Amino acid sequence: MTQYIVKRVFKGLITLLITITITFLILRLLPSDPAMMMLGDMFTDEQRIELMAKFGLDKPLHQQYFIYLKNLLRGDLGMSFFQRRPVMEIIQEKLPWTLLLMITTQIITMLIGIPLGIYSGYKRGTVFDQIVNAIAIFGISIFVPWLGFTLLYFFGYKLPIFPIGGAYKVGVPEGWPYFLDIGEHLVLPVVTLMVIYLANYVLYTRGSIIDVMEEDYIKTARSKGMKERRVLWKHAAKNAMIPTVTMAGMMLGRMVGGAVLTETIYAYPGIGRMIYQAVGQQDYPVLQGAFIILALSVILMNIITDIAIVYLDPRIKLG
Amino acid sequence: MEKILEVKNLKKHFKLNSGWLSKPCYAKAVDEVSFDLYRGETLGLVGESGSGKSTTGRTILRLIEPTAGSVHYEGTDITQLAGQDLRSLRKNLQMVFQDPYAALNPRMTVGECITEPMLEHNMYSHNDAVDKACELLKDVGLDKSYYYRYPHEFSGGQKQRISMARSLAVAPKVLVADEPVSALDVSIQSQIINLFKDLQNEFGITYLFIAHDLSVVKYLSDRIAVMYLGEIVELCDKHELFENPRHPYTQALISAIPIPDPTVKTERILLQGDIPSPTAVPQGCRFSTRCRYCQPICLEQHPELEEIDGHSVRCHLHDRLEAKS
Repeated sequence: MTQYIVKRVFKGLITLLITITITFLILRLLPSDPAMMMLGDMFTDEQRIELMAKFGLDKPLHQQYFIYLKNLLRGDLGMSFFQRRPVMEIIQEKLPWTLLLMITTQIITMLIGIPLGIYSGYKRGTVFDQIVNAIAIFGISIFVPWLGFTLLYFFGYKLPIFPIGGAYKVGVPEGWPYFLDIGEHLVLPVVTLMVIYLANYVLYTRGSIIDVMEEDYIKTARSKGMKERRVLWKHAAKNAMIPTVTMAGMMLGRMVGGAVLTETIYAYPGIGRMIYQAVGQQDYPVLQGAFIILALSVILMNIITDIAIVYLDPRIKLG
Repeated sequence: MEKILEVKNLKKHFKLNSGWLSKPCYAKAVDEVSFDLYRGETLGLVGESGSGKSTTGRTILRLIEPTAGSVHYEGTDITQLAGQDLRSLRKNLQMVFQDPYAALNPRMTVGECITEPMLEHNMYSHNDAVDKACELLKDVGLDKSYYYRYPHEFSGGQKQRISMARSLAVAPKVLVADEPVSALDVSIQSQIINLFKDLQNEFGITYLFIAHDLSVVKYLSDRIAVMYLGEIVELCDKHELFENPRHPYTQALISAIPIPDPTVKTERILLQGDIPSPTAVPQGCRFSTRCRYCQPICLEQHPELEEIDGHSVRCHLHDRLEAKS
């Protein structure tokens, strides 16, 4: 097992290195001049050369690459062109909000989606199953901005139950009122994201349960005289969880990328909105930082998923 | 002899293409099957693929709900049981499935799989259940160290042994074996068949042994029922069946058994075509489409199962056929 984990982590590191290299090269291929980005139009050639030298951009490409790697190891993701401060600092500021939003969404979606999927797969073909399916398909096909604006319009503006945007109100005292305020700001974005993600959990789990219920070992379990509830939740659900766990791992990995559309609509100060703004401002270091953090998180979650799957499915051979 | 299981007019019709625009159509997988099972005997149930043998076995155990008919186990009609009563009954009626690779839950260790039903029915305390499971593993010829291993670590034959230990865990009175050897290598088949025989001697279990291979059934069974397209076409003592098969289908099956002696010449009766679809069973005799003796009456009138001296056969021509052979 230890050997397997070490191997898996090593593979992950290689993947990360490749991702970092590609990010580095893509940035160098872009037809824009970073000095111009920072200084604007008003600069002399001397100023430009000075700035290029300051950032090491006059050095040959391979030297730049090693400096870049060295800085990365120290946690230095460069300076934002637009905000004139370290990218790492910006990400550190945004990431907690995105994680709060996404983890809340994922937990609630899992808690609702997985049992719903299991039960509707079990009750396949019934009215219950068809309604659950219809809702899931509706959720997966919906246009996010439309859903976001509709919710905002009705529950933020017409019926002002929830705040119209942001993650917190300025000037709310510490303690419970503060947490409550944050919770209130979370509701609409979480609902929006849930509608989109619910289908993933429901449909994956449902399909998997349908397959598993046809297996002979379910008949074996029934022939043992087990209660139907136990057959479903112990024998079937446990076996059906493997695809769902893989899918959940991928979704959790992408989590730190935030939800670009949802965060932007609700003016939520997370990574998604940061990416959206960075694209508009051509703020390449910020984008690059976001990519690297995202890659790191996806790779990490993949490793965790792979290890979890080994525990879930004894048939998987380590190697 | 004492009847332990009495199957009467058992029917299982599967509803097909039940879309809301199309007329429902039914596959008559099992149609009016009746037979008795005597305590301690082995009844072989044979027939080709699609003849409804497995469905019969599963319907008897209520793993599939019957469409009609009754199954009496020691006087109780088990088709009427539900809930706790049905689950308690499962202690007495057990099944060994055809595919040992699919019949064991891959997420449960061998031990969990065997002890689970004992604990579910509160037959033993946990510690006793573990001891009992180890004992059963020994009974089926496996080492008790396999207790903590997972099913995928075993070969097909070993898995079938585990399945048998599992089914024996609740000390059943009747065991339905659904083609338990057809998924195994020939060399393993005989070991498993012998194991079935040994276990019967040891525990006095009654077997309903389903197979498509007559030679397997011949070795194990006391009586044999031949099924064709959802019906029993012939049912009698094993020796009687092999010496004096009356139904043309049985005759064809028996003629197809290879004889391991190159000097013996056999006349093979080759059946033409395939078994008809159970959604469109022939009118009259169901075997009429492939029978070489087919007469006008066979196309019109559905023959009943007639019993003469303990030998039941479903054929209009059975007395005349006997004269021919």
